[in-house]
Amino acid sequence: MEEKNLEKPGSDDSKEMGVDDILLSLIGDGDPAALSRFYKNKSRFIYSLVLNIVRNDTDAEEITEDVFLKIWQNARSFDRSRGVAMAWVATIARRLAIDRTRSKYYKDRGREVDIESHNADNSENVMVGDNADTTTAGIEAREIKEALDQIGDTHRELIRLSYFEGYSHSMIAEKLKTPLGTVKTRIREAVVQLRGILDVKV
Amino acid sequence: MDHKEAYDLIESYAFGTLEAELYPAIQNHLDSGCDECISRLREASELSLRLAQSIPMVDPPARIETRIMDKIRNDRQRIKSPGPLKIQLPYWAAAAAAVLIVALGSGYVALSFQNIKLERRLVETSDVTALLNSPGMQFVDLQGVDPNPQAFGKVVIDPDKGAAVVYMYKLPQTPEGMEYQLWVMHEGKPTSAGVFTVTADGNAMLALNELDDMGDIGSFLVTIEPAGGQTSPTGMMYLTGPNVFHSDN
Repeated sequence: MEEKNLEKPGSDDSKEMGVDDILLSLIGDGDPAALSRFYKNKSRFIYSLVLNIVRNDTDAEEITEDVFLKIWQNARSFDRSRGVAMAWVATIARRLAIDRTRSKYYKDRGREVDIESHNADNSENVMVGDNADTTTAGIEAREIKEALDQIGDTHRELIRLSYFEGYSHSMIAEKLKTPLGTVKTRIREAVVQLRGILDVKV
Repeated sequence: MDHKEAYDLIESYAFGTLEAELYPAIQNHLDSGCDECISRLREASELSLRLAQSIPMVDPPARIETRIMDKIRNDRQRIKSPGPLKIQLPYWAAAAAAVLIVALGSGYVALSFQNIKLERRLVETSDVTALLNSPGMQFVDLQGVDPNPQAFGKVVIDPDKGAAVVYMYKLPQTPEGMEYQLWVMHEGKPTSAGVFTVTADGNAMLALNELDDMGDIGSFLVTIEPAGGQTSPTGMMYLTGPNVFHSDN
């Protein structure tokens, strides 16, 4: 039996044409019902991803709404050759959330300090791990923590800043007082190492 | 932005941490078809997705969906525009009704074809979405066959309703006078499910209704045949999906 169940969490089959791809095709066609279905499948993941960055319910709601409107507007531009559907969606969500944390609005609301401390908490949660957490996220967090432990202090710090804390390359270079070119090279090295350890398939 | 500049920023692009003003330049570079940067983007974005799955999950408030759906209902302009899944089926001009019933020789399967003409897009995508929303919906893959392994497809099926949608991608253009033909295999015997041509991108979609005896269906095949189709496969095979609808009974 080669049947597959429609309901899958956050990600879709890697190279296979999946429900996410089909729904994005229909969304690209302008089908609201397809967007509704996509929302039902993915909103929990997207909302959690965004909330984890902005650390504020109101902002997370607004950004999640913006993410799905972006999907609605741009589904036609999704290109499977550049990665799976959910990687594309996650990039949109992270970008909008990180842009919000860098916005004047966000800083005016006094969230700059919050986000610094919050994101440090976030990365700490993942990078320390919780052995008692048996949820999927908890198990993933432990696996990622173990992988981060293997890549060395310098590379781990760069992944912490660039992924979990949302710093740009230039922000990292400034923060660590390290040449920009070195930051770029080392982040690339860290990505390659982590992919190998986590066996991320492309 | 030149290649080296773009290449160095791909991780930031994938992680969503790039300075906002740099996104268009990276996007333009990727759109130019740079294989090296696209490959690096795949690597970084899929690592990003993996890392994201470690984040604790939180249910979003239901009001978000309501707000989204309210906004897109007002998006009239978009609904009028054609989408990327350009369907080109030969029967649409004759299909005054949405469904063209095709009586099949075997008698135990009746398949109907829905044309996905652009003007009918809303009706038909709703039909497809209804199928996608079915609780019992299942899907199976179709694989390309040498020398066209790049072709692939997906069959979305609702066993309860006896309906299916067959999506096919990256099929070569058919020569003049030839068309693709979809076959449903029952106990090793092929039954035609219709002929079709593909879009400029090599894509096509067929909607099948009233699929009886689904437990007996063994697989789908796509072959190339003289225009109008044949009563049994004679041409080269392009797609196959083995043992897709086996009944457990």
